[in-house]
Amino acid sequence: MRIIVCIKQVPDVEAEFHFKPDYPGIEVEKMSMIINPGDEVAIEGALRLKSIYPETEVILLSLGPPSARETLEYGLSLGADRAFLIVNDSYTFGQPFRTAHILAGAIRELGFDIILFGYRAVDDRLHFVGPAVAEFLELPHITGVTFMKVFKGINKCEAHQEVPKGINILECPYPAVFTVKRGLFAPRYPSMADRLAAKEKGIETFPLEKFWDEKTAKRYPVLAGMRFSIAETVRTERKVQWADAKKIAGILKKYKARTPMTESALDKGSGEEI
Amino acid sequence: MKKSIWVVAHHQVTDIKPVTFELLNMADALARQIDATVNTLLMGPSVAALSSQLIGLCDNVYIFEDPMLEEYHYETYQQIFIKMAERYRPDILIVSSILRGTDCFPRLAAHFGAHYVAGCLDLSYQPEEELIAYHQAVYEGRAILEGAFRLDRMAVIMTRPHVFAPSMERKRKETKVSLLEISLSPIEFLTRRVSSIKNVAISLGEALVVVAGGRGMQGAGGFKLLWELARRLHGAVGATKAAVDAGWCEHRYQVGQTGSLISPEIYIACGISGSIHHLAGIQGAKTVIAINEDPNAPIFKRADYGIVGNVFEIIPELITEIDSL
Amino acid sequence: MEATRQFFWNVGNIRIAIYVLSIIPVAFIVYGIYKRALLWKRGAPENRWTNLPQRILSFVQNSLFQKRILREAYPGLMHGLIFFGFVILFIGTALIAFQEDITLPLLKWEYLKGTFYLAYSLILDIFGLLAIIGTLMALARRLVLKPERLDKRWDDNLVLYLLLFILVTGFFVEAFRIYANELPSHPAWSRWSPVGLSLASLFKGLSLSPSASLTLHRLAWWLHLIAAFTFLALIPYTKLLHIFTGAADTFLRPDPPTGRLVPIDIENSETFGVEKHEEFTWKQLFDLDACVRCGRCQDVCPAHLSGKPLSPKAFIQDLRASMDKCLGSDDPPPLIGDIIKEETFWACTTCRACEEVCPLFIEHVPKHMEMRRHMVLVRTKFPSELRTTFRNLERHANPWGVPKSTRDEWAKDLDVPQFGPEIAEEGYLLWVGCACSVDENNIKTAMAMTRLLKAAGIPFGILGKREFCCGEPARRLGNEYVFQLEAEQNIEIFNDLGVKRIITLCPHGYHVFKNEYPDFGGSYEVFHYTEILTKVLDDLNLNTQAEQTITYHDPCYLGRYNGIYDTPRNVIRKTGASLTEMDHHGSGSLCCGGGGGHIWMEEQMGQRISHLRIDEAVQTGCDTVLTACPHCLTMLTDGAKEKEMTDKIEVKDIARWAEALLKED
Repeated sequence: MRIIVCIKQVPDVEAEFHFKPDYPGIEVEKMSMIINPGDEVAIEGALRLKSIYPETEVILLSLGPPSARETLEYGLSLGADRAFLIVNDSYTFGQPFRTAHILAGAIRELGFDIILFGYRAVDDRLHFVGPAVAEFLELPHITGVTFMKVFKGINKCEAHQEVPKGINILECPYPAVFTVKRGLFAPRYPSMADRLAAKEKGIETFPLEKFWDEKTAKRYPVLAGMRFSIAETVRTERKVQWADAKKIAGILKKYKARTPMTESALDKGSGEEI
Repeated sequence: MKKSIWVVAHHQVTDIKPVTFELLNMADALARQIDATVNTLLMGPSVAALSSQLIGLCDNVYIFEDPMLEEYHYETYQQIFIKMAERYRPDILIVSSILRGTDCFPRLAAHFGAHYVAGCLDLSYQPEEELIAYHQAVYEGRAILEGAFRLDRMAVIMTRPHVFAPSMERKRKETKVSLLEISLSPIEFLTRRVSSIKNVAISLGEALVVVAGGRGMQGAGGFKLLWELARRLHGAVGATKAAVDAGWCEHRYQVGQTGSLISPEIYIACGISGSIHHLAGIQGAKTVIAINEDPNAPIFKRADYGIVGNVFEIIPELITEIDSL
Repeated sequence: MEATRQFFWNVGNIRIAIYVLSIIPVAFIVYGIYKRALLWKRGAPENRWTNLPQRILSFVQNSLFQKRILREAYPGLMHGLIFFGFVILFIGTALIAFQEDITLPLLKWEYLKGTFYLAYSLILDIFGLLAIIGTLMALARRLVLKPERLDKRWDDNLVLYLLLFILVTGFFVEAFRIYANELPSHPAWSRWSPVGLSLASLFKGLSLSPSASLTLHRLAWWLHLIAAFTFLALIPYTKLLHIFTGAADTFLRPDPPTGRLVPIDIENSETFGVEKHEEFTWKQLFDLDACVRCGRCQDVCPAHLSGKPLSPKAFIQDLRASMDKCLGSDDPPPLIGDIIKEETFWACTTCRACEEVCPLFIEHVPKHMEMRRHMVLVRTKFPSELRTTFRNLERHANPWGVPKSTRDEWAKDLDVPQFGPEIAEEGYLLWVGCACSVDENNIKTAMAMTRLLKAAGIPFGILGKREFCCGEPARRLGNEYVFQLEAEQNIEIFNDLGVKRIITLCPHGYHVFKNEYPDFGGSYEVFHYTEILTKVLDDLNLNTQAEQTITYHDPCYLGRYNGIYDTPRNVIRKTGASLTEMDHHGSGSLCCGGGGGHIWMEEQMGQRISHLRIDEAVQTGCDTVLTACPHCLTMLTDGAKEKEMTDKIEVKDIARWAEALLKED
């Protein structure tokens, strides 16, 4: 079984934020770059499947600048078998069609049974590439998966999908595409041996031109412009506003539940995270 | 030809959901700028009766009823939208990201090679360049992107709920209600729901609202108040290490360095002084509301809104206020 | 005639025979030690032959003069009596052998005569008696007093009975000789052997016949000899082994600085930390054979005292018992899991109280640390809550994951100078540290210290956003990889800025900068802030403080790790405050429970260590407990809150306390 996990190197938005008004909204070279947190969960999901089917090959795939090698190497240190980088000139933001098309091309080239994505990237937050790859490859998809199983003999996947009022358990044949949310897959911590072994494993590369050219680009929409502004809620100058219950109730208004959860539901909880 | 903006209505059995009115308001404002019609797509197993609630809010209501819509399948939606788009050629399709929006519409946009906007905060028209502009929170809310695209192809816009004011003002004299002129062909579903677990309390990690208590809640009894507040907000309950250590709550509810790290939209800290151990767990929280007796408690340094006072007076007051909304 | 005695009287000419006989115990010793040495040799190499003068001094102080053993009254006296008794008796016996077999036959020189002989006789009698008293004390402890820290093994009482037997038969030999020989000929000399004389007087009362006394003398003589040889032969196979290994350990004690961890060569290592005996260094294995299970470590271990599954004594003994199984076995049992439980080495707060009391300088903490290193770096199995801490350290360079951009927010309105080359030459880098940068309660320490430094006119600067974690949490939690990343990064920044002198607010940072960074090429003059305060306090315009009653909690990394006990106390006293000590203080202080990374871990078993400590503080009757470490401050403050004792005692940092006394300009 071959699992392809598509990952992206993103700026660590929790760390110091170096804003700039022009594309891509940040001073990339000043930001610390990390693996997109959701993608790390997806890797963990793949590794859990591998622990059940040891012959599984977990392949990481990323479209990104040369610095994304670090991210792939980190992924390898978690236990992935191979890593491929489609080398881009620079960090990209908000070009979902291009990314999806290129990844779909590379995935086709690699061969696959299961394709995993993180639920969404913390930078452009589109949640587009996963379903789009499914569309381009004409595969079924399940989004927002918090837990999954594969039944190899009968070529079936089972996935838990969190929906507003509970959990849906869905099944589909594979190959298929899944976007993974943090649920039961808490990412592991790499061992020293794995970190060193990751360096040994090395990163394989694809040239971008193999999957992308000017002609293809014309098929897809492009934005006419992108400008950025710093969000008002950015925490640099946080100051408490004194309020009363009435004011707070006003703030909470939009979260008010139509039908409050029953107490029994509250007590059961589903907060277990492993 | 006049441009057309389509809005997908969200509804329950007997009601159109308020979010639909938000979308319609957004669509209406844009339609006036680009001279477009506003069309609402109302679909479900049996929805015709709901159309009356949309009169005066848009130019057309298209109804599509099919027993296949009893259960959600992205494949069904996919087919409906593809056929609808081929038949009616909408210019802009506006949906809310809640209720499976993120499941079905990215794929639809991919199918058509349509403009795709997610987390849209607003839409406007820039006549000098003939661009549709929108705002979107990016970098986990630290920056706002102002994007713009030309209406050279269909656009699929997913909006964030609760960012646009819902309007019930019936601005249009005439609203035509008709059936959507497409027919569904049978689908062999690839993804199937086999079962579901219902009425699961929202997990700490996923809840938009988390109500948490600390030493100031004084006991398991105090936490009952928090549960009461949380269930009205479809939220989860969290606790500080001190409260867990004192045995008022199980460890799985612990928020902080050695518990869960969470990033809800609203974090309500009740009787929590705000040790670094606890604050470490809520760094991602968007809005922090703190209730504490001590105005010098460190939690107020991290809070956006604060109430100084006794939690046992203020929380019941808050519950009453929410119930009266 | 000069006073003397005929050696080997009444037993015939058996000198050669004795030497031949002595081959037996010597063979036992050689074989036994050889077998043990095979076990030690399996360990990794380590150089313990550096700083010879210091090592010799330690040996003299701690082996010859029993310095650490004597710290405890009863066990100290007991061991001292046995030890000094036997040392003198051994010297006495050696003097005989030297005269009889070397100086007399070769040089015809006899020195055991006259006044010297009489004094010799008296001294041996006295020390023999003292040794008997010591042995009886030991037996009383084993049989009657039975302190909790002692466990029982087959050889514990046996060696005591054997010692007693040797001593008693020795006196009987002397008594029979005096009775049969000396009393009749030179009764005056016998007065110099008071114990022997008393026994001989007893025989007189029993009217023992001279011929019987000769036979009994011979019997006692042989029994004494056999017992002594048995004693020697048993050394490697019983707790007596510590006569060699313990003495050696006082010589082999770790080089200063105290508590420094040995770096891992990450690039060139195949495995990390320890999961098999042979991955320990030979010295760490040698330690196991030095332990006599005296239990002092257990008595002071905060983990043990608070009911955690860790006894330092049992830890060493479990390691030793499993080491025994390594010999001749191709497949020794795995160390972690069956022999040492994971919760055991995770329970260690690295406070070093055990190492500080161990009379034989056994190194407990590095052994715990090596196993943690193995778990973190190789097996990646560790208390789950630490994943957050590790991730935060790697991503945000502080354990709590506070964004780097907000690290200097505390200094925003305070006009704190940023450190730069212009300050480097004459001034200090004020290293604020993670806790004092981001934790509301500890930020007050940072603010107070900046105000004090300014008032004292000391040039200093902070790194602000350029400051990262010092690496100590990662290192004590076994994550050497993250520690080295952080250390290298910091050293690069320090060297770029030309840092010469560092003031730290946190003893943990103090320790790594001062004692562990030199291993990575960073050497600076490092001060804990109390060291600066004590220098400048006289120049500061302070109100004197006489009303509060103060007790002081020693942070482990300031006290036991760096020997700074008096400096903070001087700071307190200089303000006129009266200082009352807690039961545990100074080198015997009790940890707050936050060391060794425990401040980022759950404490689920037993009592809270911080509760034990806050109880002690309250018992002093003082209204304020001062400390000099952000982690201690957090643990004790939380402890006081949890125990609802905040109305009885206030926990404060010395800097903040002193700053409150600063007179407004």
